[in-house]
Amino acid sequence: MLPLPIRTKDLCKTFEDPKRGSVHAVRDLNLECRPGEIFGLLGPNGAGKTTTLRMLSTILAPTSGEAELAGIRVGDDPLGVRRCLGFLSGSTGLYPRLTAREILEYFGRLHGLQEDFLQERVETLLDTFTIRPFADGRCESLSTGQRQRVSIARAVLHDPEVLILDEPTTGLDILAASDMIQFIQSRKEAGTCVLFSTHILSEAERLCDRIGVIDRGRLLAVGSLDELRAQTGKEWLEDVFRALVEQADPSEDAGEQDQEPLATA
Amino acid sequence: MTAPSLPSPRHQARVLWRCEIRQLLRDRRALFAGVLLPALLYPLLFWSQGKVESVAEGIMAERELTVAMNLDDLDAQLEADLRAGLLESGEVTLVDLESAADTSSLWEKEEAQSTDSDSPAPALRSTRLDLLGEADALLVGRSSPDQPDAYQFRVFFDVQRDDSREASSRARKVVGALATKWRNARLESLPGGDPAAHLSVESTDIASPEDKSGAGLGRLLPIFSLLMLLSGGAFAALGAFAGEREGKTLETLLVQPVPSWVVAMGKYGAVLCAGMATLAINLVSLGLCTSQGLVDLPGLSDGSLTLPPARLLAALLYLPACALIAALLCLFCGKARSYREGQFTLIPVMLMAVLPSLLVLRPDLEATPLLSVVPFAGPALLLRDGLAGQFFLLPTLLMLASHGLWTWLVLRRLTGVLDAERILSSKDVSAEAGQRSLSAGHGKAWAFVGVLALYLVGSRLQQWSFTWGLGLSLWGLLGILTLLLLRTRPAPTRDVSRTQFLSLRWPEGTQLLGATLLIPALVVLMVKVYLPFQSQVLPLPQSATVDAGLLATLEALHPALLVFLMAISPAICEELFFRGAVLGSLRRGLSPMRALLWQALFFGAAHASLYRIVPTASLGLLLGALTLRTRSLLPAILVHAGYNTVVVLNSMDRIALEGVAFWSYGPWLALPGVLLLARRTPQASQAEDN
Repeated sequence: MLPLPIRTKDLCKTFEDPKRGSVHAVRDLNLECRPGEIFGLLGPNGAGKTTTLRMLSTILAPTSGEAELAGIRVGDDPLGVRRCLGFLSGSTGLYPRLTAREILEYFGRLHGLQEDFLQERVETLLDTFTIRPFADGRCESLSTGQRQRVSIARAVLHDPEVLILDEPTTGLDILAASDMIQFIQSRKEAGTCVLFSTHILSEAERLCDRIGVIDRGRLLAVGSLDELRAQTGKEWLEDVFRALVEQADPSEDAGEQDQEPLATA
Repeated sequence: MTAPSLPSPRHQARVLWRCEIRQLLRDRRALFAGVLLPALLYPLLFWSQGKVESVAEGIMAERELTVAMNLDDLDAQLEADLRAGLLESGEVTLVDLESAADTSSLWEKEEAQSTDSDSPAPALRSTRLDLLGEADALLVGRSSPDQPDAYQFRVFFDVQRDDSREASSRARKVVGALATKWRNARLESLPGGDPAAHLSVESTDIASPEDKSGAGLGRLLPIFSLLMLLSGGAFAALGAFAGEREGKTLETLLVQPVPSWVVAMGKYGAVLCAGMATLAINLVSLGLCTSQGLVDLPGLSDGSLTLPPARLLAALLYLPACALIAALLCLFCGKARSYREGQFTLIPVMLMAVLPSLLVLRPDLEATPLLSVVPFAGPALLLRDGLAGQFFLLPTLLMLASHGLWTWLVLRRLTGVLDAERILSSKDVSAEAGQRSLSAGHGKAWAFVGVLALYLVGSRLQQWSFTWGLGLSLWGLLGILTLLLLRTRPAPTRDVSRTQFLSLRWPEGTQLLGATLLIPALVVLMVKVYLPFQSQVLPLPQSATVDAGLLATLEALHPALLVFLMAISPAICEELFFRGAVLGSLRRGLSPMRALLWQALFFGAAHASLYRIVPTASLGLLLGALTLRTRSLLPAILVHAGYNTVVVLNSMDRIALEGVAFWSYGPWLALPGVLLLARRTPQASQAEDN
């Protein structure tokens, strides 16, 4: 059996702070994403979404617990994990003095794609994401939407098994955001596992096969929208979310809200 | 899809390098600063300077000037010669001064003046101005009162006016030419000719032209190269690190399957290349200017390079310094969070590199093995000597090895800086960070106050009476400062008890023993190794050595009192203030390393002497590290007291270090000492939850 694209077991991240002691950004997170699944991590700001995604993409080291991407543990072989991972966050920038084509070639070479295969792949992507009209102009002259398309092409250049998108629509205008949503849907058809974080409920409602609700570092519930509705007896996702947060016994960690020290950029 | 095999690190580094270079070549600012500016700057600068100078000379020579003169006292032939000379020297109008009496009285006044004081009396000033009047210069001559057949001249002029300066220089030239003519005529008429010819001296430089130009170039090249490397490499480093972080592309780069050391190497390579390219372009431009005769540089004079090409191979000896400066640039820019912050870090890098290189200006310094390992000083000295035709094998090998090591260490640190977790954590500017910086700021402010108080009050007290003053500034001043610092602690550290804040607790016995074992090594290191080295590089001026009166005062003291005053008191009071109060504040706000460095810097500065700052700051570093390691102030007090006792008694010749077996073997005690200190104690592991 193929390993699951994403699997975490009791994943914890604790930031040490000299003044306030340990800050638990993520606690005992158990997550499984299946091939071809779009999984949404839903939570308010500071819930631990970014920390989780950064641990999965080897940017942060877990304090305890396990995280596996495509069967590779992130601590054991970070380079191996990065090879089967496409990562994109809303704040990702592009090199202003390079052209879109050069950026794609640059990252392709860092991934070790063979030169002829790389050229072929870049040509395909230029068409897929309609980058070709501005492919040879410097990125500093591109619009936000055009940049976003280049970033997406960059993230899927090496045809990763897993895509991790950190608040991918933050800071985008309506058109660019809808482009992004279309792209995420298109990945499902390609059989890629997509894990993305958001605090926009409508996005999650529209796209996700399954939703994980996360708050104060804990995963409160996982399931399809219907399952979550059944679990809480509420109709709208807003209410579902509120009910789940209230169920999780707020008194336990009173005063520990918004303690995620890594502000989402 | 089958994943392609992971490319080799070398391939990845090359891809990174190419990408950086490509971006740099498209950066107009970098190109302008690195290529265009030097290529145009020197020719333009030197050419225009030469042009302006010659034009200025031409203009001045054509000026119509008025020279007032009073030459009535001279004989007719001389006066006629002078007039003719002046008229020949250019467009000069000669005006005869009528009031001869005034002139001679001025002359007398001037003579009285010159013996009295420097600033002229107002009356004299007005007389001078009156006499000069509208003229550009006033030439006065008279026959000498002391010697018959001799004449004296004075030229009055106004240095603020161009015309006046020119007139004065013409007048002086004419008189000078006449004097030479006279002298030669007199010498010829003497029986036996010129008496000076009997004792003539002439110096002939037997150094080959290569050696001369090599030595000249050697003084210039190291510092010039450093500045060029800095200006060229800085753009590349800023773009490659700070710019990437600011452009938010770094996070993307760090999720690529590239190890961070490969990222560091690729970018470092680009920075090094950019720096070297800038240097090369600058050197070529400068060389061309020299060969065209636009500028006169030592070693490149006579319009051609007199150095044989083989001698220029010595330039290779400077490559390690180039590698090190590029690595330092990368490290500092890598730490910067933005382009702007990166620009501010360039000045420390520049100082770090240029200051040691200034040693090449000391001709008596040779590249000794010890000096050759000093960053930047070693390669600079070896380059200088190499260009002058001297080659030292051992220092060269040591320099290559040590600079390789320094560069490697810096690059390793750079890899750590590029470590993903730290980069993202540094974005954290939250409430806690603010709280911590309160404590750090408090510590720094009080340390500064302490240093100032020691400068301003302590030094006065010690001038008044050395023994009482020293006692008062230690026990009184530092004591009060320690108490004040404790009382004014900001909120985050207020609930820490005083004893805990000052690290006043008993250490483990083994740690105390370990600290004690360090003392002999410390003494020997300072007295036998460091001080002789420093006296070579930065010799103490006569005035800075202990004066006789003070020495006599100290001699008169009872040894016990001397030890109490010079060793035990400083140990207790300085440790309480610097390692207790200041370090207590700093370590609650900064990372341990930074806290250590800051308090060591303040401790060094408190000793108020350029000659003592390095030894005292390094002592402060060690004592601070001891305090942090043992979580107690006692080992630092003990080591400080022991060290001071030995050094003071040694400098008073009360005890000898030379020839005593203990001081030859004692330093080895440091090994078990360090082992004892490095041992993990049960307390330390407990305290880690604290």
